[in-house]
Amino acid sequence: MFSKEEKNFYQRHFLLDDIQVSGQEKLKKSKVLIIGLGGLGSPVATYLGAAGVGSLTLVDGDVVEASNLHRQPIHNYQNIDKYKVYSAKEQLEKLNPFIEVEAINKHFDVNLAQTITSKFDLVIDCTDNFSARYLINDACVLFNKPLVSGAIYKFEGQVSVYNYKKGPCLRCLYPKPPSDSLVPNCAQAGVLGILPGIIGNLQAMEALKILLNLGVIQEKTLLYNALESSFKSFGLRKHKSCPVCSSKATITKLTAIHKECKMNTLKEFEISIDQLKEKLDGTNPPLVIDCREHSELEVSRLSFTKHVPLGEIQIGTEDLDKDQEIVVHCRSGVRSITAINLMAQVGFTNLKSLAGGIIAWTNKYGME
Amino acid sequence: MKIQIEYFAIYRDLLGISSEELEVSDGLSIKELFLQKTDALMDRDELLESTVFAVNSDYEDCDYILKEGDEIVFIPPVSGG
Ligand SMILES: [Zn+2]
Repeated sequence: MFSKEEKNFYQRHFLLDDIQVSGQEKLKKSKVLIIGLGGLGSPVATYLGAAGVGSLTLVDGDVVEASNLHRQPIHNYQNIDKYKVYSAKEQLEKLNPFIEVEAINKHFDVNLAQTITSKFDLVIDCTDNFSARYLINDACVLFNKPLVSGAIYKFEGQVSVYNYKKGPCLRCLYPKPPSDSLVPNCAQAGVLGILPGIIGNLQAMEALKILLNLGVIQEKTLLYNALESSFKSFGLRKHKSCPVCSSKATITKLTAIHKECKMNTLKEFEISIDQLKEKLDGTNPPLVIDCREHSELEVSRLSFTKHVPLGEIQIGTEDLDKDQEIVVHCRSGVRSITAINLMAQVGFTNLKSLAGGIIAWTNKYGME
Repeated sequence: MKIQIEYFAIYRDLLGISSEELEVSDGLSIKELFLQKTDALMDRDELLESTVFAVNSDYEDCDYILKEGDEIVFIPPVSGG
């Protein structure tokens, strides 16, 4: 039952014949898993939270960066460097105090998939990489959960509902993660900020329809092209030899899918503060680049660094020797990974990201 | 016969155009069309393996034989979020 305050909050839903109080109660009892709190997750979480989905679980291991905000307006400038899930939870609780929000500050992996997937009525894929997308698909098939998937590329986006009432899944369409030739590098292509807002809202709409059993649930892919202002949709079909959802399935339990950006996750591209200290004290110290924003230098700065903000990392390093050893640091060790990815693209060969960033360094060695 | 091709996401970048109208010979399959269009690209077999094709309003296998007036879309997997 709803309190007086909740009734006030949801009154425009109550007025809709297709929702009414009973539909709103269904929403309140619903549990939805949102994986990824970036461009797609921002509108998905905001609108499902506002709509009164009673229990939202947010999963993301990234922190908020300034360059996210043009397309991830659930976060804000004050929350830079905060985990996205906590930033989003904070905003959702301000928006709608009548829902429960659980935040899990980890990337979705096999373990997590195994432990939590069964708890939800619906899963929404708002991630930005193929490993997560395939893992989420497989988890939804194996735990029999409908999946609302959205994805964007530059000016285009797509939305699909997979595994709805055992219908077609991602692997019916694309049996395995794509070849590297289709994914030439993992540094993010530019994206128009409004695009994920549109695609994410389409996902939220499909999710709401599934929870309320409303209208026609699309067993199709919807393609949107912003430049041509066009929508197209194509019927999805179950593949008779789908590796996960057909009678000939070969995938019967969850395993990690390694299709990461090579540089994104590998520990070998990180250097610890102690390793850096040792190198700096040695005879051939590496060049250390600080890739934080100008404003952050006022708070703390290491004397031996060259400053090139992340947004200018390719241009600002143009004149450097591509083969020299370079260590990049930021505040906490997240943006510096993006930085070395971008630098690798323009030919740098000997790059490391400082694990833990300047925070870890100053904790142990001070400002030096 | 005339067909219309649209290139989604990365195909726009790989081929440098977003759509085109094309005169093709009768009996051409999607696979043959794909190989023609991607002639200049590397790893075409792998590309083909990770691409799906929509014709008019449905997905079709790459053995599908094209018909006059078909609108075909090359759809690679997309992962941005
Ligand atoms: Zn399937």
